[in-house]
Parts: sequence; structure tokens; C-alpha cells
Amino acid sequence: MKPLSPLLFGTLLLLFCPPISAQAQTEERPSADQSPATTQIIVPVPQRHGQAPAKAALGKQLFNEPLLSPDRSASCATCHPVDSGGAKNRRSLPETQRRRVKLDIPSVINSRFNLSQSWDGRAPDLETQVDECLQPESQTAAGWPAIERRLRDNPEYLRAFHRVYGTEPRAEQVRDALASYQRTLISTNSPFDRWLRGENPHLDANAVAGYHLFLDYGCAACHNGINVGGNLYSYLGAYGDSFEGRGRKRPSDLGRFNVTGNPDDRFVFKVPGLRMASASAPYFHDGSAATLNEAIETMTFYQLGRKISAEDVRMLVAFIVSLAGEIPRDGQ
Amino acid sequence: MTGDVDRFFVTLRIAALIGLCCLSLSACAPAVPGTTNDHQNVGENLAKLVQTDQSLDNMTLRLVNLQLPNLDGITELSRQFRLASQRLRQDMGLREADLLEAVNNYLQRVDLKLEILERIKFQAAILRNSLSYLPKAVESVQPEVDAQQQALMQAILVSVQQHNLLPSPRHRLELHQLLQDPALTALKHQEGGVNHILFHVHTNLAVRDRLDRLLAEYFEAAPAHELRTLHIAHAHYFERLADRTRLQNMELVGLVIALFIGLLLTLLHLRRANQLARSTFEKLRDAVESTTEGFALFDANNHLVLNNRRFGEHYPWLRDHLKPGVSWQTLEQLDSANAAESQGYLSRLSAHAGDDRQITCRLPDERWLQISQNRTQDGGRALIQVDISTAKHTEDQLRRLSRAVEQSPVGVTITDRRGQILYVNPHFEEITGFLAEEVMGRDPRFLTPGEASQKLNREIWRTIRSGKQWRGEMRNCRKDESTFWASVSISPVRDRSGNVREFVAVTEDITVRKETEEQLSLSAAVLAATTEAIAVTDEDNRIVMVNPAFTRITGYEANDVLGSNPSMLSSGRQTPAFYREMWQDLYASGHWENEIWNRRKDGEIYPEWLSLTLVRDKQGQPVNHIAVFSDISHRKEAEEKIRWQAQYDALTGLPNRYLFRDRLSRAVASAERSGLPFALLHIDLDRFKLVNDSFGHQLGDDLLAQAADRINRLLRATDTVARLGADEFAIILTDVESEKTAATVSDHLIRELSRAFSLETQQAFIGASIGISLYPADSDDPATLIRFADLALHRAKAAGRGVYCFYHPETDGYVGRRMQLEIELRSALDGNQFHLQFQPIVNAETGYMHGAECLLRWNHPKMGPISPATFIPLAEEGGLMPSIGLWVLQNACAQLARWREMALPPFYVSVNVSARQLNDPKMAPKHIERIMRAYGIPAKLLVLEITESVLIGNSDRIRQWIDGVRRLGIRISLDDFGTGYSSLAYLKRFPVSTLKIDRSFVKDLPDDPNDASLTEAILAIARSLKLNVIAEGVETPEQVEFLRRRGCPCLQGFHFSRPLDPDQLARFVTENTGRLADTTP
Repeated sequence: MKPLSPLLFGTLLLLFCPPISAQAQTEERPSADQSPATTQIIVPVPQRHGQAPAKAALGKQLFNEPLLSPDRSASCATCHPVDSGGAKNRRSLPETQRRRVKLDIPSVINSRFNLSQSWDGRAPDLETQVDECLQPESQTAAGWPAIERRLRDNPEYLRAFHRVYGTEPRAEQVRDALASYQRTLISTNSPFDRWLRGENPHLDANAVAGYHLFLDYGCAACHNGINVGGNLYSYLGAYGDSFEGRGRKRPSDLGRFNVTGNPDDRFVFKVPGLRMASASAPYFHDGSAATLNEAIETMTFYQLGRKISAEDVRMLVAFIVSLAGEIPRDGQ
Repeated sequence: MTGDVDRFFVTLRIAALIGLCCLSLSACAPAVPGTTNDHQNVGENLAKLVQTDQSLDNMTLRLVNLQLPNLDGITELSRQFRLASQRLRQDMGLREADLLEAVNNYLQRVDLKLEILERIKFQAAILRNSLSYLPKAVESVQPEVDAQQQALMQAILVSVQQHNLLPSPRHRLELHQLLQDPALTALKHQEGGVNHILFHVHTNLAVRDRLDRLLAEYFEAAPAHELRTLHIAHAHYFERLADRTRLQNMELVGLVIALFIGLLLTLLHLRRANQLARSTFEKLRDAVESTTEGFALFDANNHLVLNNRRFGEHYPWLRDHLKPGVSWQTLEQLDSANAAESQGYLSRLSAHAGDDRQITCRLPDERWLQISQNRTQDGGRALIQVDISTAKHTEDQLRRLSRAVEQSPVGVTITDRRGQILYVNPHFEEITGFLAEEVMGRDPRFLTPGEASQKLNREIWRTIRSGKQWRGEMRNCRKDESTFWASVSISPVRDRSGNVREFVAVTEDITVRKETEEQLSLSAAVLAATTEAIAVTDEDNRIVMVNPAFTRITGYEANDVLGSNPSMLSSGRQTPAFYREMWQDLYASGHWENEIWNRRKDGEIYPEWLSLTLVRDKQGQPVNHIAVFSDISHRKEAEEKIRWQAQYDALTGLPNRYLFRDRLSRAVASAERSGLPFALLHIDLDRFKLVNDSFGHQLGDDLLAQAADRINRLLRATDTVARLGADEFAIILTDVESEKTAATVSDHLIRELSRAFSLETQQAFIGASIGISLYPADSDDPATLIRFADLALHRAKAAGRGVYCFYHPETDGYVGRRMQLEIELRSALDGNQFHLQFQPIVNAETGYMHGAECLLRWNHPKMGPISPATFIPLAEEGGLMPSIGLWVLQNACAQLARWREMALPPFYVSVNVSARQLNDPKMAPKHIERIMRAYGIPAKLLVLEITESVLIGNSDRIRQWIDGVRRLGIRISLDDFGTGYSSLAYLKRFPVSTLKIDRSFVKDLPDDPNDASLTEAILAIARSLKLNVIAEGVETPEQVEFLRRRGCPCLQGFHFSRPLDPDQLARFVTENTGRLADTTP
């Protein structure tokens, strides 16, 4: 008998294979065309995070899991304590850990609203950011093979991953769970948001005055939207070189240039969101401003080309403080 | 066979059908499923992308026109645009290269565009920042400027805002003119807010320009073109895909046709195979018909397929029904109906329808059939009948023969040509003890192990290989390894063509016969070899056999006497009555023996010890007489000699001590009767030992004989002279009137014995001492007389020898006590009056006991304990030392053995050996070894102590003795060290292991400086010679301290313990041993 042609054989095989269902991965995401989002300068943080609870719960467990670090000494939460602003002061870390962290630690809270993650925007989304952090070069994590092995060896995780993802723990799922959890970390119902929504007419007058100053001084040109920033890249010092005053420029000061390699991107950083600014001192990519007052003074000086009054600074601080909302405790 | 072919065809047909089904299915299925859908999706996605792109462009324009209150919207949209674009790459998947390139080009464009957008956002923010801030800035400079300048500022502000709202060359010109205003120029020189405002205005202008440029770049970067290219590339790709699908469909149709052709060919092949099968079946039928065996084949449904004529012939009652198609059941019923003839064999087979089966049955005409039923592969069965009448007949024959072999009283073994056992009969099992299954396949040589048997086996094989029979006797081995003699006959068995196929061995156990034969030949040998003459007579008392000894004794050859009556030997010394009695006794008891005189052939008469035995047959009738006799003439002489030797001294011919006592008793008895006194003289030759040692025993004996001769010559015939011991003589002088007579005789004797003796070429001088006791003056008891004479002799010797002394009751008293003691000493050994004590020897450092010195104690039943200092010298003098020493050694060993049984910690025992003992054979090393063995004492637990003075004596013999003892592993300890004159040379020469420092040095330690330095010297010597040291007589703590300081390893004395009884010592050991004691002395 003539042998079956490979083509026919393949066809036969296809016949008996079950159809591959295209599982659409839908994820709820705040829409861009909502009216307040496009018509207001500062948009209230949405009330719901829209994440699947099981994934988020697993992500939360992983986020607090020291097993991911090389010597099992530190978890994500070590540098990003969710209960206190989502970012630790780099200087308060133990010596061994501090050496691994080059820049000021950005807050994980509301990070989902950023156009990209990290100071120079090297991670386009949270999943990539997780990857960045868990690479062994980062020295903060054991690396994927070790992490996968450790999680597999842990009966509890093995069960949890099978329940949530139907597979054993793998990098992809770990990434997904961690990102999912971080998307739940939004600060809702801040005094200012409720004021904006008309629910809080008695917002501190200083905050209200600070808000107006914020608009008048043009701060809102960069710090706007849900996260009051985080949606564009900018110089630190539109009207003056903020780096001029420094003796030495470090590679990390080059900012986005380190990602794009474009000379125009030197000293360009992602504009940080101000939502949790009151709880996440120090400030700037190098943590050079220890207090919010100092940060505002520096910022206004370089952006406007002159100093503003202490009174103004005080009001701006009150405004920024009113931006901070509640952080969902249980990731719900 | 047919079933197989059928199954094969069916399988093929099914396979072909399945193939067809698959084909039709695959032909119906869409060739490239999902492609169309894919294409549609991509199209939709592209359309959506164009839409998103436009939205983004719109939003960008709004951003540049500062119409966006926040940047979230545009950020989100650009993210979606990027994601949607990137998703394109996924949609395209791993498709063709040009398509991929188009996608990549597009994505590059998208990236560029979005990057520009980011810059636009940045510049727009700056712009907005300055616009927001300018009014506040203008407001803040109001206090600094006048109204005109203020108006100018306001004008500039408005102009800037206008320019930003509606950027046009006109507005820009207007703003420029305002900025050139001289009033402003003047203000510029002032420090403060105005300059600040101007800075922001200029920045605004610059940013505005930058924004315009960026916007141009942005639209230039628009990826619309790339998107279009992509669209076209995708359309092309889809066309190619469709083409390919058509081609594949055509291929499929071709394939289907090819398969159909293949199927046709298979069917053709099938048909041909069918034909072949049919013809094979025909051939099979012919072949079956021509065989001599009956054959019938049934199919799986038990219908007859085929049978041959012979099958029917064997079963006449079935013959008419044997047609293809007839069922088994029908035949079986017919068979059962004819059960008388058929024995229902078909039923028997039916019962085992599932297996292969073989049955045998006998036909009415006495023929035997063997019917095999074999299952065929398709589940049918084939019956084959074989006429086995001939085989059956042969089998019967064989069975009879084999019965004979089985019953045979001899062992039968059958082997194949290589000698491997094929059969053994039961008797073989009986003879050898091996079971048949144990020996099957083995070589019978296992019955004949050993070198000699191998040789025999080779010979056997040579014989039987050449086709000859081998007969012989050999020793075989049973299973229980006992052996037996076998008469074996091995013969080859040939097949019809004369080739040797097998060997048959017939084995008969002839052990009993063989043993009888051996017994007989042994008896004959004994008969021939015995020194006693043997003669056997028949019932008529005629000689039927004599042995060589008979000839030797009587002188008659066998021929001379056979058939004669043994009376021919008679000497005539015995009376006829003696012989009558002899015959009576013999017939009464079956045995008679006595001394009898007979005559030899040469006429000599001799005594013989004759023993007669009557042999009766089973019925009790006398059949033989056996006479055994030996010539006892020599024995008679010897008896005479012994009697003499028992009473006389062989050397001098004088009466010995025993006869002398007898004579003395008689003398006393006769003197009592006659009343005549007599004297007893005890003579001891002086210096005789010296002569003996210097001239040797030969000459010593010569001298003694001469001395006896001289003594004899001086005495009368009535006097009795006797030799009591080595050089001691005793004389009974009868009729002694006074002491004087005895004195005179004594004088003569001394003088006579002091003369020179000529011994061969030399002359020797001795002397004599004489002790005299008188009857009845001194005593009337013979034993006392002897003792008194002996005491007097001792005094004579003590007086300087060469003199005579009469017994004197007072002076001899002391000596008497000593002698008494000596006598007591002799009986002490037998009377169990000795016992042993042990004095511990301890380690100076630890105080643990290492060993014990064994000390002899004599407890006299009347006199109480007697000091060794008293009795040891006595024992040495009296020559008792060897016996006592031996007793000590044996008892010390026995005691040690008892301690060992008590499982005490091990310690050694040191036993004193005196100088005298060393020369004694009882103390030879081999005897010591025997004693140690007897009590199981390891040599390392025994130490022998000799005194230092011993070494100075006969050094060669001492050395030999010491060497011998050391070889046994026994250590030697040197007692009383320091008191003799031993030098270092002695110590080096004799392998002693321990020195014992004499108590006399220890006594005054540590005060006496001489003793102290001597002790230190001894310790130093011991250290340098690596000898152990024991200090004796240690009594005070100061002595202990001193000795320990000086490094004396071992101590002995009252400080630690007095000599102890064995059980006391056992306690001492347990209390003074913290660990297993080191047994080094």
C-alpha cells in the first residue's frame, strides 16, 4: 500500500484534535472615554479595582513571601509596605538590602494608573515590572528557576496555583498574580476625591486653596489625571537644570535616556503621581528631598524659575495630603 | 489452515474499510480550517487600528491645542494603540517573511509615533504650565511697575494667550512687536518679576515652535502607509494560502484514487490466495489419504472436515458415517452404541475437548491403537490413530525383562555411550544407598573416588570402548561414604548396526566374601607369624595342620607330622593318668592348659605351656582339637634369675637389703634361741662418690665388686655380708664375745678397704666408716639395730671418716632426732601434711596485686608447724627435694587452676625451684610442660624462682634448663639477689626476667646507707638490662616510700600481706585489683 502522504496524515490528526478555544483574556480596566476622566484635571480614583479575588489573594500572599528572595530574607513588601504608603525610605533599609536598591523606592499604590513603571519607565506594565524585580541580576530575588522550584516544593502554593490557575507554579502565573494584586492597590475615597465628587464640602480650606495654587502655578500641567501625575515623562526642571546644582551626576540621573538611548531623553523622568506623596517620603528619583515641603520648594523653583512663599508651600502640602485615600486592606 | 486464511482476509478487508472511512472524512473536512476566520479577524483588527490611530491623532491635536484637562485619556489611548499594534504581530503569527517584515515596519512606525507623542505631551505640559502661571506672574509684578508698563504686560499676556489659542503668523508678529517695545527694554534692566515673565513668554514661544515641529514629525511618522502595505501583504498571503489549500485538495483526491486501486489489488491478491489454499487443501487430503495412520480433522464447530480411509478401517462401526460435515456428536453417539467394541474412546476425548490428548485403546482384534487429539489453531481438532500393536508387544516384552532386572539380586546400571547413567535398578539403590533420581545423568565414577580408582576407571574404559566386556573387583563408595567391595561386570550394548549404544554394568556387593577372604588370609598370616606353636587335629586326633612355629619348636616339618597322632611328641614324663585327666577335662570344659614336658625331634626334652581347645560343629560334635603351646624353657630360666636378683645384689653377688633384713631377723631369732650376742656393722665407703664421678660408673662398679670381695674375705662363712645401697654394706657378725671382736673386725675392714684399688690402669683410694650396734646390748629389735648402726655410722662420718663408732645412746640422740625428722619428712608427703601459702606481690605504684609467691608449709601432726628453714635443708640432704619440689609445683598449678575457675583477675604464681631439683629429671622442662598442660595453666601465669647461687654451679646444664623453661614461655625470677656472687655477666648470660632483692637489704632501708646504695645499684642494673625487680620483706611504709621513689616496680612483704591461704588470697585479689592486673612480674 502506498504510504499516506504527510499532508493527509496531518489532516487526519487535525480531525481528531479538539478545537482550541480562543480564551479571550478580558480584564476590566478603567475606560479612557469616561467623561470625568477626560473633562477634569484631577480625576477621582475609581471605587473598584475589578480584579479576580482569587488571583489577587494569591498575589498578596506572594507579595509578602520571603521565599522569593535569594536568602529568603525579604519579600516585595519589605520595600513596598502597603500599609505605610507602599514605599519604604531607602535609607531605612538594612545595609545589605539598601545596597541592592539604586533609586528611591516608588510606591506600589496606584501604580496601575502610571503610563509605565519605575522612574525611567523601563517597564511598560506591572507584569514587566514584576519580571524586572524578580530577575536575579536585581539581586533582590532568587530568579525564576529557583522561585518556581521553591513554590513547587511548597505544598500550600502547589495547591493554591492549581486552584487558581489549574497548573503548577510557573513564572507566568506568578507574574500574573503579583500584577493582579498590585492592581488592587488603589487609594479610594480620598478627602479631595470626595470633595470633587461633591460628597465632602468641608474639605480643609488650606487644601482647597492649595488646589487652586496647584492649578495657578501650572503644577497640574504635569500632575493631572487619576494619579495626579504618572502619565507623562518630563524634565525635572522645565525652566532650569535641576542637576546643575549637583556636583556629580550618576548614571541613574540620566533617567529615560537609559531606556530609549535618545539624547533628548537625558534627565527625563516619569512624572510621579502625587496621590500617596504625603506618605512616601523622601522625594525625587534619588530621594534628595527629605520632606514634602522641601520637595515642593525644589519643584516650584526649578519649574517656575523662582521661589514661592512658605504660605503657598503650606497650602500646597495641605492639598497633597488631601489626595491620599484609603487603601483596601484585604485587596478587595 | 483455511481458518487462518479466512481470518487474514477478513482482517484485510476491515483495514481497507477503515482506510476508506478515514479518507472520506478527511476529504470532507476543510483543508485549512480557520484560515478564513483568521483573515477576517486580521481585517477587522486592522480596521480598528486605523480607527484608534485616528482617535489618537484627534486627541493629540486637542492636546496641542491645550484642550485636554488631563493626560490620562491620551495616555490610555496610546497604550491601547500600542497594544493593538503589537497584537497584530500575534495575529500574523508565524507566517511568511514579507508579512512579518511589513508588521515590523509598521510597529517601528508606531513606536516612533508614540515616542513623538510622549514628547508632545511633555512640551504641551510645559506650555500649559507657563500659560497657567503667566497671569499669576503678571499679577505679582503689578506693585513693581507703573500703569503703562502694566498695560504692556497685560497686552503681552493677552497676545501670548491669543497666540496659544489660535497660533497664526499675525499673532506671533504682534507678540514680537510687543516684546520689542522700548518700555519693556527699559524694564529689562531692572531685576525682578518682569524678566521672569519675559523668560516664561520666551519659553512659551520656543515650546510652541518645538510643539509645531513635533506635531509635523508626529504626522509624518503616521504609520498609515505601513498599515496599508501590511494590509496588502496580508491579502497576498491569504491568496497564496487559498492556492495551497486547493492544491492539497487535489492531492487528496489523487490519494483516494490510489487507495481504491490499492484495495482492488488487495482483493485480487486475496482471490489468488484463496485458490492457493484450496489446492493446498487437496494436496493435504491426498497426503493424509496415503499415510498409514488414521487421520480425521474436525473444524471448530465439531464437523468433520476431512478423514482418510484408514481412519474408517480402524473403526468399522463408524466407517459408513464418515463423510465431511458429519458432526462429532453423531459419531460419538455411534461410538457409544458400539461401546463393547469401541470402548467409547470418542467420549473419552470429548471429556478433554479443550486439550491436546493422547489415549490408547485395544481393539477387539487384539490390536492396539494410540489416538492423539490435537487442537488446531482455529479451534478444531485433528485425530490421528497410530497402530502401536508391535510397539505394545515389544513394550510387554520389555516390561517382563525389566521386571527381571528390577528384581535382580545384583545391581544393574545402564549408561549411555558417554557413561552417563540412564538407569539403575532397585538393588543398585540398596547396595549404594543412592536413589535412582540422584544418580541419573551422572557418571558412575562418583562411586569410585580416589587416585587408584581413576587408574582403574581408565582401564575399564579402554576395555569397554574397544567393545569388550570388563570384569573385575573394585572398591565402591556408598552415599554415606562407607565403602564396599563390588564385583563388577561391564559390557557394551550394541544396536542393530553394531555400534555401541549403551553400557550395562552388573554390580554385586562382595564385601562379605571379600572380608571373609581377607579374614582368612589374615588368620593364615597370624598363624604363620605367631611364636606359639599351633597344631590342629581332627576328630580322630590326627594332625591336620601345624604352623611354622610348631616346626621351630619341635623340629618336625609339617610333612613329618601330618596325619600322625600328637602323642609322638610325648616325652614320657607325664603319666598316662595325666593324659587321661587331660582328655577328660578337655571334653568336659572345651579347654585345657598346663605345663607339660615334650620331646623335640632331636630328642631334647623341654617344657612347654600347652593350651588345648576343643572345636565342635554346630551339632555339638567334636571336629577338631587345637593345640597351642610355647617353649617355656627360657622363661623358666628367667624366673630363676629374677628370684635371685630379688635377693642378691647383681654387682657384688651379695644379699641385698631385703635378704639382709630377712637374715637379720633370722639372726635375732637364732640368737634368742642360742643366747649368743652378735654385732651389726654398717659400712659406708668414703669418697666413693668422688671415684664414681671421676672414673665413671663402670670403674665405680668395678671398685664396689672388689670392695665386696675384700669384705667377704675377712669374714667367716657364718657371717652375713649384704650390700644395702650404693656404697653401703652391712655385716652380721655372729658369736661376738665382746665389743672388741667387733672393733677388731672393723679395724681390719677399714684397713683392708683403705688399700689401693686397681681399676684397669689406674689406682683409686677410698676409705670406710663403720657404725656398730650390738645384740642384745643395744636392742633386740632388728629395725632398731639397723637404725642404731646407722646413727653410729653418721657419727663416725662426722668424726672425720675412716673410723668406726659404736652406737652411743646419748651422743646419737640429736642425730636421731634429725633422722627422725627426715623419716617423718618422707611420710609427710604421703600423709598430706604439707600445704601451700601464697604471699602477694604488688605493684609499687598502684598497690594492685600482680602475683604471689608460693610458699611450702609443713604442719606436723604432733610437732605442729615446722619452719621451712628446718625441714628444707633436711629434705635436700635426704634427697627428698625433687619429690617435694614436684609436689609443690603440681599443687601450685592445681591451686592456680582453681583460682582461674573462680574467674579472679589473672595473676601469676612464682614457685621456688631448688638447685637440687634442676638436676632432677622430674623437673625437666618437658615435665613442667606436662604439668602445666594437665592443669591448663598458661605459661605466662607461672614463674619459677631460682636462687642466685644456682647460676654459679654447673652452668651448662643450668643454662639448658633455663633455656628449656623459657622456651615454654615460663619466666625465671632470680631469688635472693645480692647475696651471692653473681656478676653482671651471669645476668646477661641467663635469660632471667626478674630480680628479687633479698630481704636482708630491705630490712634496714632506708636508714642503712650501704643497703640503700646497694638497692639503688640493683635497680639501676635491672633498668639497664630491662629486668623487672621485686623487693622482698617490705614491712614499713618508709621502705615502701623509699623503694617506690627509687623506681622499684614490685614489692612483697608483711606491709602488704603475710603469706595467705588460697581462699584468703582470693579475697585479697578481689580487694586489691581495681582493674585487670598487669601480670608482668
